[in-house]
Parts: sequence; C-alpha cells; structure tokens
Amino acid sequence: MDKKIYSALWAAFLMAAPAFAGPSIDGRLTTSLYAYESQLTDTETTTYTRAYQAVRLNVGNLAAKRLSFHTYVQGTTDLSETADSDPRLRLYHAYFSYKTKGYELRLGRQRIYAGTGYGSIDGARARIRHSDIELLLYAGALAPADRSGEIGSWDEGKLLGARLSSGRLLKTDIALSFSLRESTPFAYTGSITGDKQTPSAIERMLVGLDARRTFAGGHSLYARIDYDLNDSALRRTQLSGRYALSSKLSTQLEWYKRAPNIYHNSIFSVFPSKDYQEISGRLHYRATEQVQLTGSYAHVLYDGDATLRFGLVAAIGTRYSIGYYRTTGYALASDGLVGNVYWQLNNQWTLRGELDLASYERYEEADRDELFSSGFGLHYRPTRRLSTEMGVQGLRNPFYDSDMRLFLRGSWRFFKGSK
Amino acid sequence: MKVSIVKATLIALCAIGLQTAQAAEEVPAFSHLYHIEEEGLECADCHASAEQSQSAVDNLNPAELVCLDCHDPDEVGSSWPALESDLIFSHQSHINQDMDCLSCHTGIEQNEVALHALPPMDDCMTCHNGMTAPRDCASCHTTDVALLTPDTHHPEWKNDHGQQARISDTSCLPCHAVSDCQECHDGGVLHEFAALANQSSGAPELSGSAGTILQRAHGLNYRFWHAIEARGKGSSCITCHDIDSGDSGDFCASCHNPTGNATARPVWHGGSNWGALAAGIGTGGGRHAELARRDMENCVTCHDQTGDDPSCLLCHMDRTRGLGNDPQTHARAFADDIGEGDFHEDPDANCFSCHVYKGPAGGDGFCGYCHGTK
Repeated sequence: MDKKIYSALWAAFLMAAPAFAGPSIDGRLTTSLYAYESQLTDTETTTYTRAYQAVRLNVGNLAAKRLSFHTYVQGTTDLSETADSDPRLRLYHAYFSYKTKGYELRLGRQRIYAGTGYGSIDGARARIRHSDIELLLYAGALAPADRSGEIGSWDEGKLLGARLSSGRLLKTDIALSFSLRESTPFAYTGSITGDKQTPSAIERMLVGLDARRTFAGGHSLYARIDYDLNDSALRRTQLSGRYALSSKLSTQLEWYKRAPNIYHNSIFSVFPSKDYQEISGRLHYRATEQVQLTGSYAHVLYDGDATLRFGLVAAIGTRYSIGYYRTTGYALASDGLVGNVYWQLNNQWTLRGELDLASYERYEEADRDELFSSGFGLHYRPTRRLSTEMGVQGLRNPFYDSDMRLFLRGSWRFFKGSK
Repeated sequence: MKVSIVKATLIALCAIGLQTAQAAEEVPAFSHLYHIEEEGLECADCHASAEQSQSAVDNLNPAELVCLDCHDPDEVGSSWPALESDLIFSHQSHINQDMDCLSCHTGIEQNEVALHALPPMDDCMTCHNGMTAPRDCASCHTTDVALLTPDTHHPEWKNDHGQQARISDTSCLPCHAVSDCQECHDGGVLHEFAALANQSSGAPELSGSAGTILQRAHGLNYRFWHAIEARGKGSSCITCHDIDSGDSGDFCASCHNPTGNATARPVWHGGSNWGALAAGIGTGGGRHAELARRDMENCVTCHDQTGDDPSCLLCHMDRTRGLGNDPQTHARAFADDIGEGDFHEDPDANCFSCHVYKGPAGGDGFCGYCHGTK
C-alpha cells in the first residue's frame, strides 16, 4: 500500500488539535454528482455516475495563534461502474503554516508559484519579509502527477528554488528567481542494442528576472528573461506594454521568444530545434460602464511556418459575453463561437447558460469536424453557508453523436472563529 | 458553418453595442470634519440607527429632522438616499464585537465631502481572514461569486495575471486563497476509467464557492480541440499539467503514448517524404526532421521526453564505426557548445543512450571523437 504520510499527518493533527486552545475552523464541504449517458453509435451507449467529495479545511490560531493547518482534498468514485483506479483521492495541498511577523514557514504538500519555479511539492517553503523586500525559499519532492496521497520521492523528482522580490526598487515590482526542477526518467530497453538504458535525471535549472511597472493613467510595462543554466542560453525573453489611449480605449502589445520546453538530458535535448516567437496585440474598448469589447491578434512564428490567432469578445459586465475565435496556419484552422450568460435573478437564484460552436481541422487538408456543447444551470443559495446547483449539459463531437450530462452539487461552508 | 458563426457574432456585437451608460451619481456636500471638530458631534448623534442596523441597505443617513435641530430648513439639502449594495452586513454584530466606527471608517473624521466612506475591502480582510472571521466571498456578498470581479480583471485578465503572480502573490491574496489557484493550475490526470474511449472530458473541478457547473479550465469539447491550442501556443499546458513526474507519469503521454499501439500514429506521419525510418543516411531526415526543428514540443507530446518511449532511438543511434554513417542527430556546432560535457562525470548521461558503439580498446568509440580515431 502507498506510504500514508499524509494520513498520519491528518491523524496527528486531529488528535493534537483539541490540545490547542480555541482554534479557528474555516472549511467547506462540496458534494457533487455527475451523471452522463454518451451515445457512441445508435445502439451503443455508456452511462456513468461519478460522485465527488471535496473538503477544504483551514484550522488557524494554533500554538499562540502562529500555527495553522490548511488542506484541500477531493475523493471520487463511480457509482455505476467501477474502474481500476476507483475510488481515488486527490490531495491538492495539506500543509502546516507557522507565521510570525515577517516570517512564514510552510511544511507539507503545497503549490509553489515563484518566478521560474512552479509546481506542487511535498516539502518546505520559507518566506522572509522585511520592509518591502521578500525572500522566498522552497524545496521538496515533486508531488505525484495524479495528486494521490502518496508522498513524492525526492530521488524521483524534486523542485527547489528561491525568489527575491521587491515592490519599491525604482518604483518597479522586480523579482529575481532561481529554480531547479529535476526528475528521473523511466528506464527503457534500446530497440536495436537490447541494452537497458537508464539515463540520469532530466532537469531544468533556470534563473529568471521579472520586472513590472505600472504608471498613472493605466499604463504598464512588463519584461521577463529566463536564462537556462544547463544550456547556458536564454530560454525566454518577453516584453509587454499596456497603454491607455483614453479612459475608454487601451491597447496592449507583447513580444516573446522562447525555446521549446525540453528538459536538459532529455533525449530531445540533443536534436536541433528552433525557438518560437510571438507578436501579439490587444485592443480593449469600454464602450460604457458595462459594455466592453476586446480584440486580440497573435502571430506565432516557427522555423518556416506561422500561426495566426484572432479573437473578438464582447461582454456586458460579467453577466453576458460572446466571443469569436479563429486560428489559421501551422496550428491548423479553427473557428469558434462561445457565449455565456450569468443571470442573477435575486440574492438566492442565478441562472447560467453556455453555448459553444466550433469547426476545426484535425490535420492538414482534412475535412473540418464540428463541435457543439451547451449547458444550462441553476444555482440556488438558500443561506450564505449553503449553496446548491443543478445543470444539464449536451455535447456533440466526432466521437459522440450525443452526450447528455446531469450535474448536481451541494456546498456547505462552515466557520468557527477563535476566542 | 464558418460564415454563420461570423454572422452570429456580428449580430450579437451590434445588440450589445446598444447598451447605454449609467448616469453618474450626484453626492451632496457635507463636511464630517466640521461637524466632529467644530460642533463636537459624535457619530451616533446623526447616525443613531447604525447601532441596531442589521442590513447593508438600511438607510443610516440622518433624517432631515435631525439636521433641523441645528439648521434652518432652507440650509438643508436634499436627503441622502440609501446605498445600493450587494453586501450582507450587520453594523450591530460588528459593534457588539467592540469595534468602534473608526475601526472601519478610517479617516472619516477628516472628510470634508460627504463621499460614501465605505472601507476598502483590504480593511475587511484584515479580520475576514478565515481565522478571526470567515473569508468566503459568499459570507458577505449576495452577488454570485462568478460575477464578482474587480476592474483589474478585464476580459484578457486570464492571459495577463501570470505576470503579476510570477513576481508576487500579494495582490491576489485579499480575495484568493491557494486553493483558488489550484482549481485551474493543478490539473491532475482527470481520466478515471481504464477504457480511454469512454472517459469523460470536462468533468467538474472542485471549485469552491463559485458554481462549477459551467466553470472549468477547459470547455466540454476541449479534448477534441486541444491540439490546436497546443500547436498554436495559445497557452502553456505544462503550467498545470506535469510532464516530468517520473513514475507517476507524463500528462501528455498518458494518452498519447504510442508504445505498442501503432494505431495511435497520426495520419500526418508517414508518406514518401516523411523521412523517419524510410530515409537513408545523409538525406537530411525529410519532413519529420523539418517538423522537429520547427516544433519540438509537438514531438515530445507523444514521444515522451521522460524516456518512456524510445522511438527516436530506432534510428538515431551511433552504432557503427566512422563519422557520417549513422543518422545525423546533432546540429553542426553541437560539439562546440557542450564544453566538458556531462558524460565525463555521469555514466548515465543521455549521450550514452545513442552512442553505443564501444570501439576497439585505445580510445575509439564515443571517446574517439576527441581522444581517438572515430
């Protein structure tokens, strides 16, 4: 059976919690049911009823109000058919946090976002803040990709790094980051030699510099450089600027050049490959307080080819939006239309609707396939602690003639403040 | 289909363009500073009903009669209307927790214009942090969470928020917890069935207080369309989906793994100019080499860069003596850039996956490139 470190952590926490005086408890239980009947052919259908239970729990004000525990976990199984992997558990995070003024230490499974470093680790993160300067340090084993309760193995994959950031240097937000991400590849047998190949770890060691400055009037500038220490080469260079032409009209231009996401010592790292470049622009027009129009255009350059992406979105507040998207070139052609409606009837009832239409090429010179999906739902919140929702979804695609789905969910939030 | 989509879009845009602006709200003049400092009034002298108020839409502004205690009728302007608010808020419960007016209405005693002196949400969050008071959006807002977006979250925010998040997470924290990020940015392997053909795409994520019914990182049919997004570099898959987690798998290869399944080969592989397998030594590799140089990430999707799929090694092996008699793998200046090379120290360096020709004793074989005769 898997290593159940996190189970032990849970048990230890539950046993120890009463020993602390007056902890605060903030949490949410969410139960979902997702049933669907998919019709492969006229005579063949498949039916599934999946059940999900998610728990978010934050327990605070432990140990002189400096220690807290945070977790977010989801379990799922199928009520109509049992797959090999059912039931399964996804542990998104489970960590203890110890905070004092200017310092924080987190231990356990947690998500890292820090410049060039990102990912879920089973490890530690320390944050030191003085005035407006912050230093973040982290190290841990890569959490399993399926986020099972099994603790990640340091030998099989690790992520470590640091980020030094400031919000006041030359009136600019600046971050300097370093990250090392490493994982052990699978061993395999060479097809010709018959020898077992056990390449050493593939890794990525990056240094990143991010700078962002915002100006009065809604203008901003952003620059980013990622440097690959393994290959002694720039991995990504990016410049982005936003300029408000008026209180209603703003424009954004962006350019980046980046190398393919290939890890050092991966077999792909020895082949010649070219960088990607993208030049993109957006125009955002706020016609009225509520009505907004956004147009976007991107030109992606590859070695000897290009992709064009185009989008036009109109929105009324956050309640109604409709967008048209088009892609041509190397990425293959597609046209899509997306519409959304969020209609809050009163403080308790909200209607939601969605309609997606698309046609696309699966490969060059192929006939286009068409996609259709729709959804209609009703969200009911009888109290501020309880919300329920129900929805139906309908799909049509090259695989399913029809795919009807029913979704039910109830969410209960609870809170107990500390004394 | 394409034409009808464009027409439908234009019609919808025209309809939306007919919306009109809302009129600006007029605020009557009033100096809190004067009434507090010069007249010595307390908050409750004018806002007497605040102490018992349990609703954010209660009109707590003084009635005209209150003003007439000191002012002539013609000095009193129009009455102040109640605020429109989506908040669930009780002055009474906050006051009962020993909070005074200035705890929230900081600076109102210096205010010389009767602007609505509502505290900024950052101030609320100092207590509504999940420990002293609940931090769930729904605890205070009656507006559906999906509709609660600040001005900074413009329609293209999804493309831009990474810039700020890479530098610092502090600007997200007043509203968002770590779990919010993970609802999009921690894509586990979602398929849960042994039979891939029957798996569902777009299963509901475990989103928090927001409705999940239509709120997903990807659309319901994304599975069929995602290759266009990946090839067009419209978003970075690996931000959420791990491709390097060792034994627990490569997200892309969990579906796109061709090992032992020839039917998984895309139709655009192959043909007389494809190159791979069919090409001879020195032919330049044909179209497969051209496409690899153009978009190596596309190769990695199926041919698993963690090493699980050794397809490339079917040809790209240095197995015979002499230069130029095996398929060319490296760019011409490759040897100039590798310096000392990992292979001197690491017997498991990837070089030895392909350079399998051992050569006779005396420095030939792989070592012979620099130290011998190869």
